[in-house]
Amino acid sequence: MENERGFMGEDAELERRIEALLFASDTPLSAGKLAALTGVTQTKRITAAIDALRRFYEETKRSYTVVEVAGGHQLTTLPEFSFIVSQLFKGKKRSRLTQPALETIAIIAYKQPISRMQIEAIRGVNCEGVLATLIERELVSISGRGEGIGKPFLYSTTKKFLEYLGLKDFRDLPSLAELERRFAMEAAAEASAPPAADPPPPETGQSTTD
Amino acid sequence: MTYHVRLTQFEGPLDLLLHLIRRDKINIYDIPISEITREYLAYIDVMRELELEIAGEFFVMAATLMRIKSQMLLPRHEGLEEEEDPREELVRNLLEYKKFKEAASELAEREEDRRKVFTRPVAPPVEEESEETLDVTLFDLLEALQKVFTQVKIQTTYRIIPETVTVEEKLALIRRSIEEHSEVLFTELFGGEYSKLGIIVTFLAILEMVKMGEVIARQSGQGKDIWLYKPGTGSYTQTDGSPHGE
Repeated sequence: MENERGFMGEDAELERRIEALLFASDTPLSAGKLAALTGVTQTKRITAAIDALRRFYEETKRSYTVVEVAGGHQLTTLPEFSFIVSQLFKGKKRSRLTQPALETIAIIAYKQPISRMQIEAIRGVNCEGVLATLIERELVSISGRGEGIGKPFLYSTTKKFLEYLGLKDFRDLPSLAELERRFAMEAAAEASAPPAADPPPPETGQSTTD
Repeated sequence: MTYHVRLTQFEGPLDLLLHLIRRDKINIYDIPISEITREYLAYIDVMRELELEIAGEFFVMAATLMRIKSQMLLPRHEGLEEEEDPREELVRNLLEYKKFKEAASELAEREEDRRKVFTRPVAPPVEEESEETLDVTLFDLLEALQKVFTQVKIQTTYRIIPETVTVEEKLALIRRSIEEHSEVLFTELFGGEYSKLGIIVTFLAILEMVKMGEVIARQSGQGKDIWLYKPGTGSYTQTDGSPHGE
């Protein structure tokens, strides 16, 4: 029965209901929410159904899939169809984040909650305008007030930030230690160029991103 | 909203310093401070020559570099190993900033990837069930007309000018309005009508159009606003098979 319909899982009806919800939703839906909407008690059954759907889309060569983003599940088109779907949204997509915005939000993402002064201490420049833009785009929000003079506002990233970047959660980002390691390798590679006392062995597999 | 004029590609003094370090293949843990100060100040000079507005932070950094440089010139106490290198704080800041620049480029990559996939855009608000199902009766229309009469200030002074409004004219006006907006609020059609006759003629025109199936009148509940729709338009979901306009 299930296989005739094309669904691979054992929970064909549940899969179809979840599919309908994901299809209609404009935001990622968490397993908990899907469970509540479908009247299923174990989220395990939900995630199993989603896995089955994903497999099904893959096997039947659909142009979309279910991705995990911002703590939920969402239907998205596959990247390979970007060239065609983007024509549909010509001029409607929001602009990319600028370099200052990326730097600022990176600091907030890793150090939240953080005050503007702390951000500025790291970037070495005024961040007022950038911060306002990030708040306006709802990628950052005020999450509290800090200790000290004037009890400064503290900023944190929002769920929309995860959604915007297609991140499942923060563990999706490399850790600060990982970033430090990458940088140390790069620095070592750079320092090896001039006649240094003991040139460190060149690291392989290092990709320079900028 | 503040606007920032970007000085070449540098986001700030730390960014400029990192650029110089990279360009000259300098070991960040052992920065030749007088060399980098010279290079840094040369950059500031160029920016000044180009009459670019230089952010205050660039000057603060220039001062910091010069302070470190002078500290480096002071004789060091060989015996005291624990004495902090005057460059240490700067190096720490540079490393910290560099780390987040790295993180920023990571985020940029994610952003790029995510831009290649598409999700459902923000959904239009779901209309209440009742908004689609309640048909409007003649009594509802009359009730709405009553409201129009109470809202509109009827001119009580009379000028003896023969009224020229005809149902046909009104029909054409309403037809155009519906054509343009595909849905119109009942009361809106009476905008600009101050005479009893004008209101009645407009009302008759609406009745005519409803009768002919040219518009469909719907309201979300008893006594609520009445909307007039062009049959077969998106905002109105038709369930029965009434004929399309034309």
